[in-house]
Amino acid sequence: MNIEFYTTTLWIAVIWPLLLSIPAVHKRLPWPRYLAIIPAVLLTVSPIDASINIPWLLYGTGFAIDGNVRWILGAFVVIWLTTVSITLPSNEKSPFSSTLYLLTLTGSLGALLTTDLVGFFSSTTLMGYSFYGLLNQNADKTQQRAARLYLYFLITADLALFEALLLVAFTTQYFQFEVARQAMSEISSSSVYLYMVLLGFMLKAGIWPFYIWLTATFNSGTRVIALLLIASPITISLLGLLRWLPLRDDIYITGLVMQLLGASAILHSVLKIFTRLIFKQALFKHGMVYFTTAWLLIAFTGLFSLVLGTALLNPALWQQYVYLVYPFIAITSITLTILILVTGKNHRKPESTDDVFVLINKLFHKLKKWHQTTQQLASQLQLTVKSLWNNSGSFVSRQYQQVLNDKNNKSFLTSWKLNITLFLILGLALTWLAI
Amino acid sequence: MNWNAWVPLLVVISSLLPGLIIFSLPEDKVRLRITLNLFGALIKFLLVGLMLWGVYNGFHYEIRLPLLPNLELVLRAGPLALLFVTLSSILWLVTTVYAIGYLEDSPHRSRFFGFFSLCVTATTGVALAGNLITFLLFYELLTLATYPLIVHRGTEEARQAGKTYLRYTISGGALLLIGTAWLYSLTGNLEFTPKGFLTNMGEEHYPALITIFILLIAGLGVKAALFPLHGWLPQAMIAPAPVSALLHAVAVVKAGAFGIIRVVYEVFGVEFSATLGVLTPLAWLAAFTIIYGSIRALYQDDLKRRLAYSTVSQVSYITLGVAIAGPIAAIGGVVHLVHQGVMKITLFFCAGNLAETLGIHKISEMNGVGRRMPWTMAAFTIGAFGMIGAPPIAGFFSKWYLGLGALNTDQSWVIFVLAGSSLLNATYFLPILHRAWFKTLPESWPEEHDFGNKETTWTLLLPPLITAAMALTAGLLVTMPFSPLEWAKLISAREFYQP
Repeated sequence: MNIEFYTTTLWIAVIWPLLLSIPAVHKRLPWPRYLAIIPAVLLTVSPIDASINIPWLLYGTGFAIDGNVRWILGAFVVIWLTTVSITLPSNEKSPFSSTLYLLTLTGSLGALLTTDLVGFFSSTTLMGYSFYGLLNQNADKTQQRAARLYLYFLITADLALFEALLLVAFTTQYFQFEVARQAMSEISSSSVYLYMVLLGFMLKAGIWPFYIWLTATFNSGTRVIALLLIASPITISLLGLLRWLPLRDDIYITGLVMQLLGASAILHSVLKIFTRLIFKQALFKHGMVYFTTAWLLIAFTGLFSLVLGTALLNPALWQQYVYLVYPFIAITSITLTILILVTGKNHRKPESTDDVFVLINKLFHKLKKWHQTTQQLASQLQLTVKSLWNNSGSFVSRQYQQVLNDKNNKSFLTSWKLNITLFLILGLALTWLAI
Repeated sequence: MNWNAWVPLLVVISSLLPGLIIFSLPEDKVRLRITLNLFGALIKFLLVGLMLWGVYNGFHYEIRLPLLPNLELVLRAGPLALLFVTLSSILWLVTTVYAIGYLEDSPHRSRFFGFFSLCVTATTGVALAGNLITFLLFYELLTLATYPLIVHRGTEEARQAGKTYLRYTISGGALLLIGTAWLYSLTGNLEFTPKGFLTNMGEEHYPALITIFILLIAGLGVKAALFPLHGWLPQAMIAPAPVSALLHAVAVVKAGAFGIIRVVYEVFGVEFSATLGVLTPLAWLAAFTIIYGSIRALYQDDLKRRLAYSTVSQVSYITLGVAIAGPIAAIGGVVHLVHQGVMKITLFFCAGNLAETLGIHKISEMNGVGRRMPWTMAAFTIGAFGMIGAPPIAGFFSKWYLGLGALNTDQSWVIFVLAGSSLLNATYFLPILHRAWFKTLPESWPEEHDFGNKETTWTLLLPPLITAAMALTAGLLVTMPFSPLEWAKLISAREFYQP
């Protein structure tokens, strides 16, 4: 097959699931969730690197696939197909659920294949909110809380990334990954950009210490959700870090901090798992798999953080070995998938949540209370202002009262209509005379 | 006078004449009324299209008619005027289709559609006004034409809302009139001029000019719902949905915001306004309104009231863009005139659909409504995400340019306002979406109308779908020629870069 075929397949891979996400379309097709991934499968198995520019879309976006992206895409396709094959038939038949699945797929593929920051940001937004929808599908209270937590993190992350994008736009007019990274690594204000990118993607990927939403989601969700979580928000966010992060020689302190965070994540995970092992002595029994896999996932993102720290400390070394990171992400994702698949049951586990999670929920309820109090104050203030206004005996106010206190609304409006018509006819006549 | 001079006048008359004829029609002449409405809207749309093409090809559209000694009624199609008039003509067409469906079988339709047409006439006049006196005339006509639409239902609540509306807008109009008269006595000129016409004024006039600026902005700020002049807007929500849509997206609120752009760019000029030191306080006021409107929106259970407070917040983005006084922020402010219009009209159409089909007025009644009315709620979702500023919907690009403009002019505090506002937007829109899509369906709806196996009539469903598609397209094709953003760039370039 020729290069044009793969070039076309690149954008079809994104557009096709988007088209299928329309209920009127996917309801009429058999196995829409499998059909949606076909172009992506073709791209994964093809050995040809391809790219396409779409100058009229957003700020001139494009899609491309090379050896590095193919690793991630391959892992994504495997996890997606696994997820779809274990989805309950009742869920498969729900049009709304299918729409959310397919929108998540569209967003994920868009982010994987796009060549620029704006395209990536748009795609991850679609992916993030669709995934939030999936978390809420037939959710019980624990799941809803987990979904809400995910949403808070998602919104904060998006705000941070938006600020980062603004800084890129302020610095350069080009948003292609390589150009933008290069430009951002050459200016003095890139530290703010660096922190925003780190914060945004660490929140999105649940990298330690921002893992609370991840454990909550993992522990309250189904096996399908756990798999999708690995495939979409986490893998794509790690990829985002690779693509957005500028590398400079003078940011070694940030590198050290990242390494410290990574090491803490791994240590924390190991401690959590061993504590559980000592007290429960069963890591992969019913429900335990979610706990263990969640902490393995945190350890994995911690390891990534460690690697990223090294990159920030020594950019030259990073450039030499960066190609290894893509298979590392892909293989770890698939390993975690296998772990969930062989040991997990397709049921929800009412796992106890972290203390911090409970604390955040309490904080949320306090905020709610504060809202109510402010609301009462606001309405009291409004009433005071209104009474002041109504009691004002100014001349203008009295004139208005005289004009408006006509109880017969209908006759009042009829005269209003007549007056306006006459006024406008007069205006037209004057205009005509003037001409 | 060449034929081109007639086009702006014809654009105004294309809705005025059908409106006047519709007034005289008996209630039972449904077909004739619909035909006149659609005919007027289509003609206006075509004429505006003609002007767009003409201006792009270098034609000049201007008509001058004597009004008072030394004062003329001027209608002119410049880039800024065209942006607003295109928006109003397109959205009027869509709103007319919606209103036809919405008011099917309700009383006083001739009265309603008559004033509806007059309202658009006034908005078109405001858009095409070539000087401040013409602007003022149409601005006041807009007040007179919208009042009957607000009190259309005739209930006590509607009458109260109408009273409040008149109190605010007539007071605003009076301030605008005083400011205009004072300006004329001081300069002898009211002509809208690129970069303003006050640059040569001596420093001894500065105190007077600052006062005039305050008067004009206060007069316009009433309709633009700037804090603390916004009180009429949430109350006006009692009006039927097409009127709310028109008030928030096309006519009244936009006329105020558009007026602020005109005054800053074409009366005072950005540079001179900055010299007077009036832009920074205006930016702070706009920023405060943005946050205040969003916070008030949080507390509303009534869907339309929440949307109204959202408008208070969102329209101030336009003022903020102008007040930041930089070329990039100006693009953000001006383009938001269009983007906010398209997104907000979508939300109001959807709110109207919910009320008309299921009797839903409150957010607390919206549980599971996404499953009952998926298309309506899909359009609502696009509009809401656009308001939050999620890419690639149009609202994202407005915020993008505002933020970038702020960085460009060393006013980084604006970034925090934008971030805070986006956060608040998410806080008051996402719970609605969550409720609509993920909560369990209730056993019955407040007041359900039967439309067979369809979710509602096509006249109600098509308009929000069209406007939602427009909001999405305006974002996806943001850099295409003739996109709102490209027009905004043209306007900004004329103000900031052309000698």
